[in-house]
Amino acid sequence: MTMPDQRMEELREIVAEVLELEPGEVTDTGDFADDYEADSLRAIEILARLDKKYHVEIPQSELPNLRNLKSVYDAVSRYAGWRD
Amino acid sequence: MTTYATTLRAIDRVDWSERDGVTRIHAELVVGDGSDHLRGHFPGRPVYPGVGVLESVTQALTAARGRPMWLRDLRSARFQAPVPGGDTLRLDIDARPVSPGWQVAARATRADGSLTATIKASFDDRADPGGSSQVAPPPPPTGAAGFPEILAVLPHRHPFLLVDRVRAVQAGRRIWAEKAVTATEPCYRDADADPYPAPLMLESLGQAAALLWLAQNGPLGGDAVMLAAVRGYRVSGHARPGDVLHHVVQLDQVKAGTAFASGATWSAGRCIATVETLIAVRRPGSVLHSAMETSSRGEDR
Repeated sequence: MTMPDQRMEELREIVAEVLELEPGEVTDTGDFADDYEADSLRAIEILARLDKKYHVEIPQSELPNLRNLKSVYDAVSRYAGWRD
Repeated sequence: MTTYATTLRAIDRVDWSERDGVTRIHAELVVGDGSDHLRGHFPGRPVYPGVGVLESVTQALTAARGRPMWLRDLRSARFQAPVPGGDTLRLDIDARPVSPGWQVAARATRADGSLTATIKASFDDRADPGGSSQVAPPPPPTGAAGFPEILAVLPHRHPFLLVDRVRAVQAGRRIWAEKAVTATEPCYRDADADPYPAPLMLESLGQAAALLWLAQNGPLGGDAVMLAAVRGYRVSGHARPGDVLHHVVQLDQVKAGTAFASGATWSAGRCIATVETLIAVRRPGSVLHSAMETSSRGEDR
């Protein structure tokens, strides 16, 4: 697995745990709110876990952008300085 | 439907059916009708407590199983919207047998049909499984608070103020708080010898967490701190009148006006409960008022 793939799978597990789903149920582009019935608190939980796991501080203003797994990856990439 | 009543009345009516090994339970409660606890949650502003929904689920399952059921593992509880006094709580519960006990998924709605809580938990019929012998970490000699200070910070009142003393607090980090369980509490009105209800132990732990958060953040003013979610609350023992609950709670993170805490409860030298995550939000008091207005408009329809 390449580094981006590994990170994507790690994020999939974090998101799945917050959404109370199996990792296999969380697709790259599935919308947290529309497809998995996530409320705003779940998005805050995802944000909090990302901060802790990757030692970053993703600002609250990113919350509206965290709509699916791919956008979570993009946000963490920006703040943790990941380069594909 | 079966009429149902207990000392701590959390359901009025309950009905159930079984199909393919799954017990489907439906229960209802008119909030405020016969509940002592609403007087203290909150004075002049009755709101059914989140842990009340957990008690309602426990009582509905107990009715359907025909014997007392005890909370073992609250895997997840989410409290989406408050249920004000006068509203009707409706519970739909699926219970499946597991070894040992029952695994439960519950949805709670208000009279207007909106979702108020979801609960995933397991229960069994062991009143007191023992707990693990473990000594609570001793409090450091810092910043204690007595009952007057607690009254000044928390909006909860008798009989729903479930912290008596703060032994120590390290602002923003950790709190050591105590609650004495006594036979004069409403849940012991009928001189019942049962262990102290797990939902009240959880509420007491949650109030300790709120005191910790507010020790850093300052008092509430007009704000309300609301329990928004619980993950991984495991009960391994129980307390009875005469016992003291010793809570130790850590504030793990605060993000976007949301606090994440973890902790444990000790009693008589045993660790009797642990929680992975308690999630609380701080909202202007007006949020509760507008929730009531929305809810009462729903009733009129």
